[in-house]
Amino acid sequence: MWKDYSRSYIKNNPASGISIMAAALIASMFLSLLCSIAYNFWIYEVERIILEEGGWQGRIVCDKFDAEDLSLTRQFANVEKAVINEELSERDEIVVDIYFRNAGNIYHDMPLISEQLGLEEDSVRYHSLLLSRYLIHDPEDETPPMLLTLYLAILTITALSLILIIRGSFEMSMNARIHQFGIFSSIGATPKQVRNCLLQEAAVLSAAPVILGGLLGTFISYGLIETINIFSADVTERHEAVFHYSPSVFGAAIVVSLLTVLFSAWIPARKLSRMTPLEAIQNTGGLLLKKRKHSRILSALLGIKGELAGNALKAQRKHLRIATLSLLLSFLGFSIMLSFTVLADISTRYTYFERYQDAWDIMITLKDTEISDFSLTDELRDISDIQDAAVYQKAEAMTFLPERLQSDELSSLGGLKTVAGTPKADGQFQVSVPIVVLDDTSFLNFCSQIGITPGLDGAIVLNQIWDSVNSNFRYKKYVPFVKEDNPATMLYKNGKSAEIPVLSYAQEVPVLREEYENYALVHFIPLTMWNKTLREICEAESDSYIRILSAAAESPAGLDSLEKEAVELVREYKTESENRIWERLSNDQLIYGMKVIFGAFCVLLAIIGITNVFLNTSGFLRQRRREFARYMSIGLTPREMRQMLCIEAFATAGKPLLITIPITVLFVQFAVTASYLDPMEFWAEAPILPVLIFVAAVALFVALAYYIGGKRLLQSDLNETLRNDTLR
Amino acid sequence: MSILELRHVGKTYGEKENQVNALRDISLQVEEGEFAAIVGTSGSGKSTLLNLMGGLDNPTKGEIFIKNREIGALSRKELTIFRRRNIGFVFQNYSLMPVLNVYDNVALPVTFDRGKHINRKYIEELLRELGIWEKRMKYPNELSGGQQQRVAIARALVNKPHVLLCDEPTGNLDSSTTIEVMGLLKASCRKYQQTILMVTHNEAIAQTCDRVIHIEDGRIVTGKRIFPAKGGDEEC
Repeated sequence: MWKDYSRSYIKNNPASGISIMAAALIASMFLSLLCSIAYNFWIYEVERIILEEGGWQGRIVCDKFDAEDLSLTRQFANVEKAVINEELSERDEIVVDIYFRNAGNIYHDMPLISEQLGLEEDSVRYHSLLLSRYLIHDPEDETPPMLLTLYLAILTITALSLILIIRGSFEMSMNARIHQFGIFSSIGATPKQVRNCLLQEAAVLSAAPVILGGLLGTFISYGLIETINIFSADVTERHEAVFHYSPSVFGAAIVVSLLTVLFSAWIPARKLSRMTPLEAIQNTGGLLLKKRKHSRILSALLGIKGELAGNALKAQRKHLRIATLSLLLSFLGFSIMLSFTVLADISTRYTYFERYQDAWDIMITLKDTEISDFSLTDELRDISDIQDAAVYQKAEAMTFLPERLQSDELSSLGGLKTVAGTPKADGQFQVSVPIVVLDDTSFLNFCSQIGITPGLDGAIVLNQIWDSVNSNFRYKKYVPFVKEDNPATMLYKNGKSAEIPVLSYAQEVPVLREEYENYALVHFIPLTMWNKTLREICEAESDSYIRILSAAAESPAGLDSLEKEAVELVREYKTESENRIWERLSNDQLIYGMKVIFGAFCVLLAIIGITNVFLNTSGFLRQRRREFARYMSIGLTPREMRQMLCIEAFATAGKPLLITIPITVLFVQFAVTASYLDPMEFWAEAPILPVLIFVAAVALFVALAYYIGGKRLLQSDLNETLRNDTLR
Repeated sequence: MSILELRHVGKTYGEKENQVNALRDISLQVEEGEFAAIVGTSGSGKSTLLNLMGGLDNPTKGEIFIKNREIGALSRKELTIFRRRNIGFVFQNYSLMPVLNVYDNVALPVTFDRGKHINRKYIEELLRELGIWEKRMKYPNELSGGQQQRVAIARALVNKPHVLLCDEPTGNLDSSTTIEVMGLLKASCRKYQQTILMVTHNEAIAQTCDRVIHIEDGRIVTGKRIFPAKGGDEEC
């Protein structure tokens, strides 16, 4: 009998059944699409990190690590694998990669391993980027990377919004039937029987759409990933995304959709079980205001139509809450995602390409070549289109500074102990000294650049450190590191030392594509000086670099030919070369690709929100035939009813948007503060147009739903509708 | 032997300043096989009384016994099953399922009892007696008001209840159909030894019943009642 009743109800109320099926199909499709895309991007990100940086989770870097140590490491219960990284290990520096069974305990286990092996604390490294992709963060890190968390939050918000589509659709349909279930109850159906009827009906209506939606979502995500691959085929060094199908992700989307369906059907059954049969019978699905409420603003502005519209919305507030919340969530997801894209865009500008765009045109890495062994510097400069060429190599030493040498500015910020840690017994602080060995001509040019008499018998010291107290890493302010009255620096390396005369202290750097440490005393040294004093005590990095600035016009073809010519000249060396324009184009393409992906995701969020609001508004109107028939029966004209519908449409669309905008502004303000960006810089580029388009689309679709629903309401047979009031 | 008994039953709706005492201290006994009419003006509390007797609503005060069982002590499920097996309801607005045909509407209460077979012969007998057998495949909206009320009566009788509660069963019917329906109810009362309580505001219809219970302002009125006649205070 229940089956007959349900079948007959579905047959006689096709709109209700179709709306539930459509909601289940759309929601499960988007849910599956969203989950599948999120899963694939996560997999892709992990693959990319592993390809670029390796799949190790923990690493030990020390000067000695024998087979016994390796065996000891492997004996730790949580260690899955420990291998010596042959590629990175050198004679006096062994790198051991460690893989864990449960990476979640890595920050607990690695210190224990290091302690067991009798190693220093600083010999332990963590692959924090990879670990962060598994939401594993250093417990002592107060500001762990939150990117993945943000994505997960957006995903959750959107999933909730989707779930609410199903919930809203069911709520509308089921509430309209409380009266019928009241009759059932009065003639002897127990609450359990009513609940089972609703659950069975929900399952029958939704099972096929949910599964179909899940499959559709998976297929669309496959198509999307293939499309992204096609679009980004030209991006250099990008590894192709491979579609991963995860039965558990698909299953989770289906199960969540089905559970939502069943939960949504269970809610009215529970509601019914709390009512007496009489209350249920008296419920005709009409609007009920529990307390007398005035819609003061609407009534003052628009008279009785405003009052009626306001009261209708207030009486349906509970039902509309789901639609409002769902639209609110998708709008929130949409605007946050867009704002985040703009923030990421601004942030990218501070990286590498914008910062160093004037510092190089062509970079040639001379593999395994000492700067002293490179003899083609003058020939390079003779190439006609080269404006300037600098050859340099980097090295590392250290020095010891007494407190009296710290600058007054550093003293006021806390002194050397704040940047160099604990002093030695003699009160001197160990400070790192990065060395940049420049070819002599470039060094002499640098002397001229800072306005000192050119000379090759000393170093120029970059005397600045980042004032992290009064500035953030985005807009760094610098203060002098040391007093500039010390005529020489004593440099130490490998137990040996050498005194280097200081030609000058400087606050600027030569034009190189290099970033220098925040709290170090960088020394620029001419090749002659290097060969004379330091080369013996201090080994340099294995590679040297040639930085070329082009005199020719900035065209890809011009730089290409210059690059070829320069590489051809130094062909006797093992080299790798980069071309700024191509790097830039490749980078731009990558960023464009990311923007396309984010854009598509935002459009997806917008579609979800708009679909939801359309379905909910249509359903809401369908439930109100009797209410409008009553208005008509007491003399409200169709024109007045249209006006009333317009007011309602305006309020329905406006409310979620008005709530979301302040929340988004707060989020953006928080994100801007957290990323140390100038708020004005964000607001100048805020995605106002897309947000306005979204707002307009929401308004349009709400208006459309009201137009279609209103037309049906106004065309319905007054007698029939009012008669149905007693029939149903 | 009384089949239905009310002891000091009261029903209050609303709270504080909106409080309405729909029924006050009602005590009443109804004998088995009795056909009683509950009569009163609109808002007097007669429908509320009927709903409380049928367990469709809960009293604020007092106890209601049907077949010596206090229905207020039953759980929601027990009450539903008790109602299903012992009480039949006929509503003024018929309360038929619009999506089920006549036959299915009538058979519906039987299907709620798991394992209980639908007695098709009995349903046919009922429908024939009520004169709607030919309409058994029709849907409620294809029937006249009188026919719909007959379907509602058939549905109320299908489980052979001991008590039939009828809330203005003739309220929406014309006079000839009203006579027909009243005849059907009386016949059913006799044939199945049922107790019928019928709410009506129509004094003439009430006078055709075995007993008339008058209710005014939530109280049972005994003895002579005073109806202010139009334009005066003549006693009726």
